[in-house]
Amino acid sequence: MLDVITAPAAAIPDEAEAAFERLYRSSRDDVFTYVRSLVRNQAAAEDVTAIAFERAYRRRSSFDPKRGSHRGWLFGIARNAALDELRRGKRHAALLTDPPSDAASPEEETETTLRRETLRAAMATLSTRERELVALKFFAGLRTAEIAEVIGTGERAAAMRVHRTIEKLRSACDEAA
Amino acid sequence: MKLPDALRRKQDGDPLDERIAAEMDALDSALRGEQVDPEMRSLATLASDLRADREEIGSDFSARLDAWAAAGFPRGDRPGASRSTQPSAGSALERLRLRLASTPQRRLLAPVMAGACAVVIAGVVASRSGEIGGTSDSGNSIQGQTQIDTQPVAPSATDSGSGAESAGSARSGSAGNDSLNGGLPGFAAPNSKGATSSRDAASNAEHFLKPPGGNRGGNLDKIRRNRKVERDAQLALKADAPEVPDIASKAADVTERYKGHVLSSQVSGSSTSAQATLDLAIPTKNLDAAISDLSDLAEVSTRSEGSNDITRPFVSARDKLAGYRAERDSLLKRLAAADTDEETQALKSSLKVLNQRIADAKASVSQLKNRASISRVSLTISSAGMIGDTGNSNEDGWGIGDALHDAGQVLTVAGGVILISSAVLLPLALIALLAALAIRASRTRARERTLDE
Repeated sequence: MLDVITAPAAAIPDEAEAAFERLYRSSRDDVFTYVRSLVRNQAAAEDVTAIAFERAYRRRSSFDPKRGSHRGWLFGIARNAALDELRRGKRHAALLTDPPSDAASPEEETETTLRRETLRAAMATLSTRERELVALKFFAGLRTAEIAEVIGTGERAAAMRVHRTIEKLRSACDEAA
Repeated sequence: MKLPDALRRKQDGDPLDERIAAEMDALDSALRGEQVDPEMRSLATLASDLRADREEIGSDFSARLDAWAAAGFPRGDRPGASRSTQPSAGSALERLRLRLASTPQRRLLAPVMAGACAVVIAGVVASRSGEIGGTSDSGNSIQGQTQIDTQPVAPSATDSGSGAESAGSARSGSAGNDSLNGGLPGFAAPNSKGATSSRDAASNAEHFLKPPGGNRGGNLDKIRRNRKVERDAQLALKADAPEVPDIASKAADVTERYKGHVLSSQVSGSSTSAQATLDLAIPTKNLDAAISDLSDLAEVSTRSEGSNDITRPFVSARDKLAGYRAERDSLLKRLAAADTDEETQALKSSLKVLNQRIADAKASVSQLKNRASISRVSLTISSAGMIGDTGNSNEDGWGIGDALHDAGQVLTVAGGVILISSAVLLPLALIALLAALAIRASRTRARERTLDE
């Protein structure tokens, strides 16, 4: 999952195809998870995931390794596709809702479950940007440098934002506790 | 807001706080499933709890996605629950828009620029098609020019030779004598005696004023019947130096054979290089035959002919003459009927002026007739190396020099087309680039705003 593809899109088409295939396999689930957390709708997430990989495939020869990592580039494309979907959803007033979460039965309540539910409630208080950072860091498993590429800031700024988001989550969890 | 790469790197100048850096490292380790320091265990727990809430990809969708990927992401076959964004759905315009959106801009740039270049170049070539391609003066090129003299001859009180001056020709003839001979010694004048009686003058005037068949056609008919065209020719021959004087002599013989004569001739040179220049006067009716015979004397380097329609000034001059004659007849009648000496003297003075005008008009008419009936031929005979020789040693009249000349012209035209096309395309490209940057910036801002809503 964290196996970063650093091989550039080579001039030889076979190597570029092989590199893209490796990227696809290592990032497929992470891209879906990230997109799902942004658009908050299963159907829309599937659409956007497919669109993101299609666009990345069509532009695979334009990737420049000097500008960043393969995963950062791919998640940047996925991010734009997700934001476009969000804009489309707002324009057409589409109903984007989360599916109802499976509530744990009282018998299964454990400390972990309680803790996670508290965390889930704390996640709901986050802004869309903060939720995106959580998705990039925890769901997709991107390194800080890759997160910086995706959101278009410096690595230090990205680290600070992630740190603040984590602190916010901790505070919300502590308050709930 | 997404920063450019350079600015992003610049903003990372200050080092990250150590504690925060340690937290990031611990998070990365926890997400990789590695052990973390006990101090960072809460972070590891947080990471684990957050990962547990991760929405996993469905098996059905992942299978369809994998199959699509294995097929090379073919268009129109994209898996997904919603079909509304499929390229196959929607109108043709929508499909085109989606296709363009998924195509890298670099791939669109080349065909767009090629199309724009083709359009601009076609426009430039079409507008310059009359000027593209040069003319070569070497070889047996024949240039002809026809000039229609449209300036009418306006009679005035002090008119003197104005007919010849307004004809627009550079040639000048003798004037001022009562003969219709244009002043070329040794050449028989055309058989035209002119009108000497008032009846003739009147009939001439009537003839010119009322053409047969009534007024239908009018002046145009008159001009057509009395058409006068002056012609001239320039001929350059090439021959070996020792042959030049002989060829010049033969040219004079040809001229005399066609009832013309040599106005001037000059032969100079040596056994290695020579040149002869002859100025010939040949009756226009024999001009074509004379030129043909002269061309047969030696190899022709250049040949050109010109013509100038002087019908209108000729007709005007003749009309003016007829008018003066009619006026003189009228004065003569009045003189015969004069009662007093004063009246007689006045009429005689007027007659004197009128006679001078008639003489001038006759000279104009004669000169115009001679210009039409006699053609000037400028003949140059030169050997290789003399002025006038184009250096073309190819017997067919086209050689390396001509090829280089033509190639130079082609390159000049091509360079001009490229320059003009660039002048049109570069500003358009700049505008298109600015527009594309503006659109991209606008789209980026709109996307970022979505996260803040």
